[in-house]
Amino acid sequence: MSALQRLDAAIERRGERAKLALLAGPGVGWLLTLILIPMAFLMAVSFARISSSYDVVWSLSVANYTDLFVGENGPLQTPFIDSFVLSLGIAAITTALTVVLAYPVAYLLTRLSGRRFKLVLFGVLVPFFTIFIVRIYSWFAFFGQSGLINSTLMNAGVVSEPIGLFEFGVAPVIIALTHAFFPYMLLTLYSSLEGIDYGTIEASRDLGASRLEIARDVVIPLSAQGLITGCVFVFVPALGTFITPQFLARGKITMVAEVLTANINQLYAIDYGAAGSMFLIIPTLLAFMIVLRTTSLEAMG
Amino acid sequence: MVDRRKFIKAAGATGVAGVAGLSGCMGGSGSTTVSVLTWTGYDAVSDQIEETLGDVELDISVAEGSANMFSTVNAGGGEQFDIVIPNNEFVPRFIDAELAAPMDMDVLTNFDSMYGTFQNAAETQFADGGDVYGLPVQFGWYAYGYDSSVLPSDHEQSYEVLFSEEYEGVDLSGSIALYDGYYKTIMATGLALGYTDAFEGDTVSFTDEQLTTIEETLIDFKPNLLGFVHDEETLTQDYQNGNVAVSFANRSTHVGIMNDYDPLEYAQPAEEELTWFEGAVVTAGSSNKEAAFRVLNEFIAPETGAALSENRNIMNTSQDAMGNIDAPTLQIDPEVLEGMIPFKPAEQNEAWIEMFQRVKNA
Repeated sequence: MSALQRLDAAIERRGERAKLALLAGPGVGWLLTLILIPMAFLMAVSFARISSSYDVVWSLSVANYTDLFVGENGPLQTPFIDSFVLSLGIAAITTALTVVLAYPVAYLLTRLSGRRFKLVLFGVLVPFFTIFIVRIYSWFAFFGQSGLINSTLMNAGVVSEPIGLFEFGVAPVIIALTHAFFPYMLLTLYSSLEGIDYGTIEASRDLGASRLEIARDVVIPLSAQGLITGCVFVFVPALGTFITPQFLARGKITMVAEVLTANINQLYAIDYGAAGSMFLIIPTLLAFMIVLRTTSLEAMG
Repeated sequence: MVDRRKFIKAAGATGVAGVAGLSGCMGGSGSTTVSVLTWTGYDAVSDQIEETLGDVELDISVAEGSANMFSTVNAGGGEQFDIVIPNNEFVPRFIDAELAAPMDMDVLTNFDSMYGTFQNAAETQFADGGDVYGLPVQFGWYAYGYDSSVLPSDHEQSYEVLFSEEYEGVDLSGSIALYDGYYKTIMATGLALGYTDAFEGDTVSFTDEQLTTIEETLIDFKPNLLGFVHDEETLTQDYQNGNVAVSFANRSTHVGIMNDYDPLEYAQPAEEELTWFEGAVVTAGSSNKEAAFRVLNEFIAPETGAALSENRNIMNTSQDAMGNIDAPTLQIDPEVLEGMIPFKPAEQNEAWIEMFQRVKNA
């Protein structure tokens, strides 16, 4: 290769790099400015301390993490741990319920076409065109001793006194979150189910598989990527939910985001808040790692 | 094509307009911009104050709570805001951090029209080294509201109602709401338990034993609670839906609900009300102190103070302002001020917060 050819190749390579930099630059800049730098700052603050005059004292300390895990009554007996465990439980049940409810609807959607498909999809999604807080607030009238559910049951003579399950507390929070996050699960499952070759289902049926066996051995494995993605899309926001327990548990429970907010608002303990936030970020990162390892971008819809 | 003369003319006009606009931002009309960090509702009287003072413009920002106000001012060295209006228990913190300027009593001509209780509060809780650093502006109190169609008005009014499954023959189980805030709810529980000695010093200080009993009381009684509430909208719905019979919250919250729910009344408990007041501070770093003091004087002026109160459903510390208020729900018997227990910093603040979170998770 002559010197001239080598120069041409170098210019071409540089041009490719410039093109790549031009294409990726804004995205990387955006990622750095809005995600990575704030996250790095959050992590740095989690190892700092806040002085009594609310200044950040930049000294390396794990005291904030100790505060999260060690309470007055011993290790792992802190409001943070209690709330974190409760939040994990609520998020897990919410995710499971959305799976159970969204699977049949997603499957139905794949079997419909034309106007009927649009009608069902519109019917399912139209409540979600309202903002989140309105959807949560819409459940308010249903619960409580004198809420719609208990009143209806008592007026109909089904029960003689209000049922505890329908009073404000954990159950209404789970119901409202399931309702709120249902479309995330539905759309990812639909996207995954839609890609299944229904010839395989017909073949299973011809070979004598029952409906349950078809669901268990064919449909679920073939839609697993969408299922995992849907679970992440529901679990992560449900874990960090803040406003729902305030409305529907009437403050009788505290989810983890509320514990952190209370400490920040009332004590300006942003160091404690930053350390606690790390434990909301870790499950999120883990969930996304699972998704990236198990699914393709197409399957994510 | 645009000719040169037209272009120069247009550019000149644009320049003049730009300079005029800029001079407006800089207070080119000769007015001083006073920046205020405060609660919601103060902007309702901005125009009135600007009109009265003539040479002052107000720039009002809203903060989420007193701690947020302190951290904001502290982070900026107290130069970006001329006035800050936290709750009274936070004013000593501003004084300790040297963020507050001493009040210019010559400018605060309406100070003498304040109720004696608040003049006294300014001269004690807001004083240091012979100077006064804060001005009580508006006030309210925490006691409990009740549905008089459920719990008769002639019941013996006490915080004990809040911790009774049944009170004077009325079943209250599941229909009591406490305030969703550690500070107020712990103080009310302490009062219901008779721990009045904890309120006597400069801070509210319960003994460890008292704090344990307060925690146990709240946890034991939690199954009988509707929940912990803090916003007027949901509490209004609770009263309208018959979910709640008794609620411990701010008087102003209940005043708002009274507009939508007639049977609601507000109690005057025997243990006395827990009183808060907003303490306005002129920051030490302010370069517009004189104008800032004139603005403060307006917040307790007879007409502006009344308008501020009516807009926020909160009482004014000035008797003259209160005299100009027509709203029946804001009328008070001045005698009610005599036994009030003012908010004070909590001695074991962090322990209170942690305890309240334990209660909620129990």
